[in-house]
Parts: sequence; structure tokens; C-alpha cells
Amino acid sequence: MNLNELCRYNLHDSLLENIYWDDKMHILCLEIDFCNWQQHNFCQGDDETYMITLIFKGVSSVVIPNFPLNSDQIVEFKLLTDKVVAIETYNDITQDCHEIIIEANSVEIEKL
Amino acid sequence: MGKKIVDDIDNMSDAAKATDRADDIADGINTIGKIDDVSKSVDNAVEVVDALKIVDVENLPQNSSDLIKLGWKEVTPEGMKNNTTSKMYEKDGVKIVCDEAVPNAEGFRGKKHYHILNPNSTSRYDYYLDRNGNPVPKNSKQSHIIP
Repeated sequence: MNLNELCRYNLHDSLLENIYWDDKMHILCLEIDFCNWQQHNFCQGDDETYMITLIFKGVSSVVIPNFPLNSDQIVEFKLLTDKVVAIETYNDITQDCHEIIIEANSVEIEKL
Repeated sequence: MGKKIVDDIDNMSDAAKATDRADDIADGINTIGKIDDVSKSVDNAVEVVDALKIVDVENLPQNSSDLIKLGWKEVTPEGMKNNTTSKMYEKDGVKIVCDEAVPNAEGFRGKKHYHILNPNSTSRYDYYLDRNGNPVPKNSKQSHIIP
């Protein structure tokens, strides 16, 4: 799907657990502990959280943190253009927010 | 021969007594350990109660900057300040974060909400406190406190 379709999901307070970057295939994967309870279609009895992977394809540029993740909390998710997203995450070791910027053609969501 | 047997029995008896004594000592150490654990739990419980005394959960302001009038200090880190609308405040060793509402968003994202950071947190699973002062995980619904 297009990156702007990610805006349908509320990623605030979901946790960024891992980042996988395949330089040859131009694929970036973000492994996320997803807050299902934050979604508009959440129903009582559904799993409140579960693991997902965002798979960005056709990645032409990426800025990712240069320090270990520690279940970093996603604070904000912004669509900068139809090909570029910025994800603000809070790392409790550095005790500050950091920005991940991804320029990609498309993204998929897989439930783990 | 008979004396040797008696001596052997005496030695075995001493060994048994020594074993019993070692068991008693071990039990004593275990008891001390449990007392220590209880003591630490009590200490932690006291600190959690104190966090709620500092954070007036029922009267968190709609405008988070009003917290400054209540003795809170804004300690929003630079990256958070530059790239998000969230703000962090601190008072007497307790930190809270205010996440602004996103216009037209649904659920908690459409409402301003606070998080109380657990001053005694040891992992992501007790990172925040809910409105009753109970430790709750990082991405839990209970960690979201609407003013």
C-alpha cells in the first residue's frame, strides 16, 4: 500500500522493538509491538497488543537511530510527502526523542 | 571391631548433626532473604503511594503548562520539544508526560492524555503508573490518563 495509508493506523505508544535494513533489496522492516487497543476498529475481547512488522519497499533513503533500541515508544508518526514518513520515537536510555525518516515506494503490514 | 563400629556410628551421628546444622543455617539465610524481599516491597509500596501524592490524578490540567503553577518544572528533552507536541514535567522525582490530542483522531489519540512514569520502574512492564498508582507496561491502555 502507499505510505499515506499508514495514517489509518494509530501508531502512538506502539513500541519499536527492532529495525532490519536490507541495503541490497532496499527493504526496511520495523518490528513493532502494536497497540491494537488504540485502533478505531478495536473490539472488547480482541488482543490489546500484538507484534507486527512494517515492511517498507523500494527504500531510497533512510535515517535510523545510531543507538540500541529499548522498546522505544512511538510518539508521533508523520507523513512528510507521499513517499516520506517521519517516525518520532522516545528512547528511555537516551531519555530523548529521535527521528526515523524513511523514503520508500510502498509499505506492507504483517502480523507476526 | 566393636569400638570401630561405635566410632563409625558416632562419626555418622556427628555428620548428621552437621548436616542438620547446615540446613538450619540455610533456612535462616532464606528467611533473611525473604525478610529483605518483603522490606524492599514495603519500601517500593511506600514510594508508589508517594508518587500519587505528588501527582493529583483527579485534577490534571487541560493545559499542561498550568502544571508549572502547581510546582512542576518542564523538563521536555530537546528531541521531544523539536519534533513532537508532547511535553514532560518533573516534581519531587516524579515525571509525567503530556501527549497532545491529534485533531480528528479517534480514541486516546483524539484526546489529550498524561502518562505517569513509575519512579521505581525496572523494565518496560512496569514503566508507568495507572491512575491508582499500580505499575503498568509501556504500551498499556491503563497508562493513559485523561485529564
